[in-house]
Amino acid sequence: MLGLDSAFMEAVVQLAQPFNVFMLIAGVGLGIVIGIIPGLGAPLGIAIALPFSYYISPIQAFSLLLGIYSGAIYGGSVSAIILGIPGTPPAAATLLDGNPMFKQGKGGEALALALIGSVIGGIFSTVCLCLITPILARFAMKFGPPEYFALGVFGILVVGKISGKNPLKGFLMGAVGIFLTTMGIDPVNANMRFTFDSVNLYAGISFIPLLVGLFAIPEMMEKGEQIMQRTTPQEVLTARLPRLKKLFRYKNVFLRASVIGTIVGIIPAEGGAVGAFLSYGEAKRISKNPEKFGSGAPEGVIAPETANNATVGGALIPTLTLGVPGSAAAAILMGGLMIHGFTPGPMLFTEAPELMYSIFVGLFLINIIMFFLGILAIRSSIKIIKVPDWIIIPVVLLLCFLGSYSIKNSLFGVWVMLWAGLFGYILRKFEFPLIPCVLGFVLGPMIEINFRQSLTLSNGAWSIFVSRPICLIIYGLMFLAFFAQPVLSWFKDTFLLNRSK
Amino acid sequence: MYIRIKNCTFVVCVVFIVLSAIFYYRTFDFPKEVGPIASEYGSAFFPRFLLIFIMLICLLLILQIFLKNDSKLEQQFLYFKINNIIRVIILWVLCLAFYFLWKYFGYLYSSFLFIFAVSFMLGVRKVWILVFLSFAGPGMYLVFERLMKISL
Repeated sequence: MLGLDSAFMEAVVQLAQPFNVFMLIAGVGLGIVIGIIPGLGAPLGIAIALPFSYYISPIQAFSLLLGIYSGAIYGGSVSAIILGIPGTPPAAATLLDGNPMFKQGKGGEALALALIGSVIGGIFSTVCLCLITPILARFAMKFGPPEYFALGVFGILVVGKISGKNPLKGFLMGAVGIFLTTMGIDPVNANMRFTFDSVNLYAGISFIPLLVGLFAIPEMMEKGEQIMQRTTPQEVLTARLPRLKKLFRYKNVFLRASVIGTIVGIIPAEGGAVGAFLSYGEAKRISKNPEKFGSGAPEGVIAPETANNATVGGALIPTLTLGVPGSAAAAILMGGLMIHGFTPGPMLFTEAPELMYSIFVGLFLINIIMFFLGILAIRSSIKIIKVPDWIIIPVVLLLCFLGSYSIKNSLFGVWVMLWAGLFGYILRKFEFPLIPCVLGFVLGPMIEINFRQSLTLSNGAWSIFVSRPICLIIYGLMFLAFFAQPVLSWFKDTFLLNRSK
Repeated sequence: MYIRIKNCTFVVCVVFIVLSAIFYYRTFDFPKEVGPIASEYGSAFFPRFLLIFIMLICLLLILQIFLKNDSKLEQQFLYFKINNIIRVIILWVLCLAFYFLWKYFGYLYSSFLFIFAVSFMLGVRKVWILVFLSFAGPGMYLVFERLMKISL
């Protein structure tokens, strides 16, 4: 086992290899393009790239995938500012002031502020990732099967609550996702379950075809419903980088947004969109000129863009240390870790320290690369936005087919992808969220194995789930996540309003 | 022209309840285990627990539908444009056709036909664009077979 210093050096040496540098640049570039084109987004980009990353080393794979993740989150701001259509959900808050700035002839300034905010937010959260993960990993070493079971359930329930309008639908899809993992060989007893005498199902349903089917196929089918004609401005845009003195005026906005984004990223499945809107709301509340928000305030671009890229590092904290994804994209990355043979959790630091360090150092490099590529992307953004759907849809569909096939060189993966895609489309149309299903699929084996191990340890006594202090803390957090808001509202209505009367 | 579908949630919940019941029945085919813990909490326990949970949630959702008052009745309807649905069905059928063509005739020609058909369905009419774009499929063949050494 490598010492930590030598693991760090090993990671740096690996990242400095020409092919790895190429993967970092390619990942960021692809991510920015994916983010700029409305309707694609980071989870889709990572889902499509994931099967192809299987054929390269883990460090190279995560350089590519993390590059796509960060680049796509930033790229969404470009079409939000220029077109008034967010390229990704996290960019929805950016358009509130970004698009008005563009209409006032300050598009270059808005794009530059979005880029700088994204880089600062990304670097801040990477620093937090480096500092917090070792501490959290040491704490997580005390976790046993009951704690991991509680954590898995916590992740699914929180995601189910916040995904979509109806929490019950989220819980249902989470349970369906976990149930799908019970198909195949029982991980504890090696019995066959729900294989319907099909050899293809002995190993269960593969993650990649299901993921691609649930994410990419419904997205392309929705795009195929109506071919959109996007009207774009004719002029070539350039980023107008502001002077350092002007940037320094916004230092508090950058810092506050970075903190909010990182904290939001840590909460399971609270992704960039929530961080962006929270940060926007906070910036408006504290601003000396809140009335300017919504009509082209620079803080209205800086706050959401800094926060949404800060969620990247934040989301990786629980993903890497606890094995509970901090966002949908992090859930897919976690699946990627498993495909490469790693188990997310505290043991990752001891089993693969060079991978962990390569993720930390790689994220720094990604944010720096994103700054330079972002300036280039701004110049080409109009051309990228103009790429028509009749090119995007068939090419993405073809990549989905190839990705689903390539994992096991089997058309059964394609079959799974097609049916997952059809059901995913129908469920999405009927307003059933799909992210809890993906998260349930990722966490399902962990939940089942730890559940059954807990009962084995306690000789069948269910009290093991409520008798351990860390479990009680997790259940307490679950209670807060579900009931804090209604209880606080009731308290406010009952006591504070009555008092004021 | 639109189609209006009422109680989509109700339909989905009924489907999930039926599927859960079928899978629950299948759990009785699992091998029986010996031992005090294994016999009670064996292979069938966790799937059954999940299936019961799924059925309960579906019943709660159905109850939620019936408890909604009349002023919220309109929210139970979803509207779908017929032309859009037809396009989606055609797109999915083309994907299915690609799967079968690939299975029986190989990847190379079926990918060309797939991209051609999808682009045509999406409104591309210039022949040279259709043909040029369709070569993306065989182009991927070169990338996968030659560069990545993955047999298609």
